[in-house]
Amino acid sequence: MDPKSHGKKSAGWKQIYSSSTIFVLPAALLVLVIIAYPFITAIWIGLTNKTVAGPPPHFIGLQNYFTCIRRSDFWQTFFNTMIFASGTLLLSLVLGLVLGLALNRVKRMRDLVGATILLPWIVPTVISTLVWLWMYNPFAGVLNYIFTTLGLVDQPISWLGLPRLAMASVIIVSAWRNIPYFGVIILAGIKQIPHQLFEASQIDGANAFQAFVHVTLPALKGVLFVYSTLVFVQTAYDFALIYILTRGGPAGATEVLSVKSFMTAFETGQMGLGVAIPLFAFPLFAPWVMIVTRRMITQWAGGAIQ
Amino acid sequence: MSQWRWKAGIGDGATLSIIALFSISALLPFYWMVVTSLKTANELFSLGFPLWVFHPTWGNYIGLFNLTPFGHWFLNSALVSTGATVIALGFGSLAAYGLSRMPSKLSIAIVQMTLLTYLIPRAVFVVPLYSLLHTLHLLDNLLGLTLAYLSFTLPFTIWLLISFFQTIPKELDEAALIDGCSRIGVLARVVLPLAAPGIVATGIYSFSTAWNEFMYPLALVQTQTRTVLTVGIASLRQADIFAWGQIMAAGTVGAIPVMIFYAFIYRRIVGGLVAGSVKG
Repeated sequence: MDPKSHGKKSAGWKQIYSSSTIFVLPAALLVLVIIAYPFITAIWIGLTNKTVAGPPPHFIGLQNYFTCIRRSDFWQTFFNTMIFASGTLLLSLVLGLVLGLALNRVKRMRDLVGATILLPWIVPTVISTLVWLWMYNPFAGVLNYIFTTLGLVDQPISWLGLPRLAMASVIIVSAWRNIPYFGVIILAGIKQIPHQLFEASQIDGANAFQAFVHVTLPALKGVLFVYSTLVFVQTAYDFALIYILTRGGPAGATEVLSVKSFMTAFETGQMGLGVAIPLFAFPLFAPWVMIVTRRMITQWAGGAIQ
Repeated sequence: MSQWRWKAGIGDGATLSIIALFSISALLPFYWMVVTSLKTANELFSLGFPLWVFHPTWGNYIGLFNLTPFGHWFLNSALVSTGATVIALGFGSLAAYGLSRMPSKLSIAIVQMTLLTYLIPRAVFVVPLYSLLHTLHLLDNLLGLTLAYLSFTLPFTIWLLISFFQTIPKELDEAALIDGCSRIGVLARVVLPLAAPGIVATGIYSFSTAWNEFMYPLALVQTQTRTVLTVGIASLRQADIFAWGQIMAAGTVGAIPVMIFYAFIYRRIVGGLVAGSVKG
């Protein structure tokens, strides 16, 4: 075919493709109504003293944000959120790595093993969290039964009743949910590493541990970074798990941003302040969010150009 | 089965014990859930061996359907999750088709925006959605809840579908257009059938995210019989401190739909996680 006519033709196709905008329109309108509009309203509500039921809201400027800065319980909440998210990330990353490496060595029944191990990630959070709440029950919970039977403790432990222990207990549940996710991602990442790299390291006389440090870990770096950030951000925003286990208690020891925001808005009825809390905290997470978004965008754009 | 055969089946000893440990900690809570769901209130708080049920009964399951609005909750969850998924797939596949066929700055900006919304805390949206639905008289209403769910199912549906559509060569579109097919015909007869597995996976993912949602229905629905499964089950706890048998029965039934769906796409999830992560 004559290359000139081919060029002309593809210009014609381009025109047709630009008409693709019409396909995007319905979704764009919906996004406008249920995402963009609420987001702008959220910023506005944050600047008012809106309540659930009551007089029409007034504009009060940045007062809600000043309230956040002034009140120590807000900073406590922010600190709790950081501890909760980093604790979850650290625990699930380390154990996920162990799990991923072990899964890679599983020779048969890999699907069955994988499906079993993924269960905590699949079952609805509300359901598995309620099961954990029942397991943590100080009187009839199975954890206290196991611990006292094995002679590890003398008397039942109040897992969610003591401030420090409560934070550890909620982190364990959250990590329990995320370990399989990391395990499977890490397994998938390992599978992508070219065999030659391992063979080369073997020839160079590296042992299994050295191969792990110098071949496996560097190869997984990118994957681990993206998913760690995702898990960190999602855990920091998590609501159901803590709301069900402790409702932020005891004495605010496990109160995280989403729970605080929700309870302020819907249980004490101060909607303005309730919205201001996560909006105030968002910039503190924004750098992480930006990094992940940019990485995913470059991936996506890369795919589109192919 | 003797130990060496297990070893030969799964892997070496160290691997076997690590996998066993992880499997037990993954399974124990669910085992405990099912065992508890079969116990009587007496047995729940008896001081015997808790990890087995000595007098199994279906009482909790029967009570669940007769004494609580569990049937309503289950049905409401099914309706809202299906609605939010089907609408997201409909609007989403149109948008994803358009976006995947015109990789421009605009489309990248649109995708970036939808992704950002995914990364803003939900707590920011729940109050304005409450006001929006209040204005529309859709509070305490399944349609309103479906609309609220779309705010999270739509962005990631578009996102996932774009990546599936991109794998379908444009040359196929062009060939069909030459044959006199309209653009919408190309989408319906060429792209959608080829992307079917991806669409099913996206739909299942969307459905289970909607099925698991807790915060929105907690805020946007007040009437007991109009709420969804997650909020309903959690509310059983406040009703009665001895309701654990019933709660665990509800959890067992409530987890089934999602687990069935996942059984179908297990391989794809694992594959999808890799495809998404390794490229960058």
